[in-house]
Amino acid sequence: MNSQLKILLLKALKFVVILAILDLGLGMAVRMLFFTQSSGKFYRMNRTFHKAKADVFIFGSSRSNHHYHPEVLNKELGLTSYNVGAQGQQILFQTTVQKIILERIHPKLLVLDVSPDWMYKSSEANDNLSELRPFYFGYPDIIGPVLSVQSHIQKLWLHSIAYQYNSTIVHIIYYRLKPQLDVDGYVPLLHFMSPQDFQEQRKADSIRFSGMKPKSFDTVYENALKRFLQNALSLKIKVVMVYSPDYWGAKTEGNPSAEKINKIGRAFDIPVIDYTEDPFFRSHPGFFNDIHHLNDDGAREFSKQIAQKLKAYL
Amino acid sequence: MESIEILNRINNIFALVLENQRLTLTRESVITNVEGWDSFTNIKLILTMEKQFQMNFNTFEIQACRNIGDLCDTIQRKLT
Amino acid sequence: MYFNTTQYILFLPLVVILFYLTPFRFRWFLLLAASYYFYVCWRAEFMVVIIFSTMVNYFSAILIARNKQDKRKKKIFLVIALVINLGMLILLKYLGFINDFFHELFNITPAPTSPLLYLIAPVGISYFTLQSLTYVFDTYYNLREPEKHPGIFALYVAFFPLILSGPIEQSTHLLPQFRDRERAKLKSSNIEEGIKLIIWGYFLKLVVADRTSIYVDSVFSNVDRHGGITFIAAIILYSFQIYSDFAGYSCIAIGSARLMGFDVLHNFNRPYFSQSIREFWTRWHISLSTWLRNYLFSPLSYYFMRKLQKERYLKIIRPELLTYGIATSITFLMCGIWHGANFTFIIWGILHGIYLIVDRAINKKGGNKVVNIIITYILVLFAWIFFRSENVHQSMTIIKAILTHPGSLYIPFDSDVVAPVYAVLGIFIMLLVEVKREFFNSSFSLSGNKNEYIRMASYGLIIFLILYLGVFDASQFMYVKF
Repeated sequence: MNSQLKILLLKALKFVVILAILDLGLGMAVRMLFFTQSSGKFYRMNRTFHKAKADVFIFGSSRSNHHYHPEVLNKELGLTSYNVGAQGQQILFQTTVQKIILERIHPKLLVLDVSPDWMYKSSEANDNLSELRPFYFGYPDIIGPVLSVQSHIQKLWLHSIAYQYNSTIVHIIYYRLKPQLDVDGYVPLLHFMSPQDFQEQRKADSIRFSGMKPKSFDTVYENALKRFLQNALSLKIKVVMVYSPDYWGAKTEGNPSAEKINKIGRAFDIPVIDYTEDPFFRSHPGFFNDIHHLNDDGAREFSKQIAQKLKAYL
Repeated sequence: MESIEILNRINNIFALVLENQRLTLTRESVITNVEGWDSFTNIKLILTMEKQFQMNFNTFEIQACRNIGDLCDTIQRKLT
Repeated sequence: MYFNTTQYILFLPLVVILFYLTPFRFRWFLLLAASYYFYVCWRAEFMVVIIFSTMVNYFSAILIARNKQDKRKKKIFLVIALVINLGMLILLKYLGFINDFFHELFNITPAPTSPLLYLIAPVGISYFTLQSLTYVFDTYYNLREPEKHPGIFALYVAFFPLILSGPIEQSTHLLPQFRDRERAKLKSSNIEEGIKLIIWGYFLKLVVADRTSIYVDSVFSNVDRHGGITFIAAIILYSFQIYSDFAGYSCIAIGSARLMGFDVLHNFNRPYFSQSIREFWTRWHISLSTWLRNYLFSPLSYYFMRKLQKERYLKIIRPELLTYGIATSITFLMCGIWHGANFTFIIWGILHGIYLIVDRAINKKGGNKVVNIIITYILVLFAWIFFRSENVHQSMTIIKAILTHPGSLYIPFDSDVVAPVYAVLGIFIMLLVEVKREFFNSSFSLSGNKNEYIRMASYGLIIFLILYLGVFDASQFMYVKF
């Protein structure tokens, strides 16, 4: 064999070993740093996966996270509840989180807060699945397939511990400096939407949506929703789907995606409670933080109302 | 003309154009280690040399010169 | 195929391995096939342009060389080659812009909606056109014999590491390397050098460039809402974005070539440490500034210098300065135009031209190093405002805001807030490395260390940082648009 080739192969071997050692050593440090967080979205995800115990679990995106107040629900329902809502996360995420929780405990009721557009393909939602990466090593069989939705090559990169913790350091530092308040997963919003806020946000939304391409369905999302419902039903756990209040923009009527969600709900015999255009909330702008989210006052009021409705299904 | 005489004459031209009487060039001098010599002053240098040696350089004959030594050789060649 | 895709990371090692397995005689064919495949991944139609361009220049050079003794004929073939090359570039890249311009000015050309006028410029055309022209000029000036082997010449034009965005090579430097048997032998030092460059290139691209772009884009897409302070922050970030994007791309290109033993001219030399605009242009996009100096600035300077025989013009201007002024103005006007079909690029080019002329006229030497660096950087920043803006109106809005209405620093909400923080982190790490290389080069080095374990550990650390801090969805290299 050519002597240069021998030198090269030896060098390559040394390099791979050094890389592996660095990734392992620095990777462990970075992983430790990640899991010492005591507030923020990653901390909440960590608690959801490893510690949270309750009779009622509330799933959903940021709307769920800011709308369901566990203390109010607990009082009204006489049960314990926990909010696992996560900003920007849609059905694929919810089903993954559900699976991980159900491996550990079997709650009495799952509330799935859905948004009307959840059946449409969303590259943003797919990108946000990256938030599951730091937890991959604990649940490779559950999280691995979901991450492959982003790209198949993920599997290769996930072998690197550094990559698993990609884009986490700034959050770690930020929440160390500015801890985020949460109550059993619920994060209160404290702003009161002004008429000017409403005008600006409505305009921004219109501009954003007018430039978008026509939406298409993604069967992967449909199947994920079905799996969510199936997983719960097979363990005899009750499920209720809820569209929580929205001040402007969200629509279930005449919305093909919402119709699909409702159809699936009916097929699985799951009740669907629709607060999207609820006249009470639409006439109380003071309950809103912004056009799509309730503030703490609104969340408390909504939690009271929804708890009454949920009682019927317990 | 002898190579050494060409070098001297080039040295004088550089000293004049670059306004530096103490300048001393060697065959190894290059644009990066002579103060004041850059792609622009180079042009005046070339044109002054053209007048002095009574010849015309083409842009790329200059480009092909990597140092003063090459320039001397080019001039010597063109004189014969 | 962009460089920062998994596709390229699989494509490159495969080509390199095949390269060393292929007998020397057939390597040109392997590389040409790989280069054409690389190019076709963009758009199959573009192939027509590059093949046509290759043929034109191949035959022009041969005809020029054949008529070495006949000055007139030689010149005719040169002019034909120039007209076809530049004509193609203008047609494919600038026709829409020119049409808009005349339409607004005189209302004489067809309405701007005709699709024929907005042909998509084949990717890399600005680069391979210039690279091909070095070949034609070099043959014309007798600096080399024409390349008789059409395959090797085609490879020179389409060589995949360089085709997208340079560096713009010189035919006297690159072309002979394809025939160099000694160079083509496997050397572990080449592989190590190549990989080192590629790793650093990915760091610049994925950790610095891609993060900074998020904040910059959001500020520039909403110019009416921001104040001066935000614009200053954005343009500073932009200066790092464009540098790390382009320098990162260049590192990957040069490193890729080096893996196969090819030596490609460096394109950047820590430009923001320049102490004058003159120095800036010896450190920024070196392959382009070299091209402009050799083929535009120098010939123009000689021409005007010979023509301007008066002692003084307008009573105070010496002929050298006037020559410099004219040659620089034309060169930088062309430089601006080359970058894109928009007045903003032209203004950017002209600004740099003015900087250089004023610098030459004042001809101040010395001064405090740090002050010089800062002043030069500010001048460059100001010009970047135009380079980045969508149109002249936007640039003016930004400048007005900086001068009259500072406002408060825009901090994006939700996930977008994270990007600029990562950007600053990335820039900080990059500056650590660059400051060390610029000012403390002779002291202890990690990546240049004699001990191979220390070297490898330093490369490994950069890879770790790329995986920990980098952006991993495909985004474009900015200069690819040109």
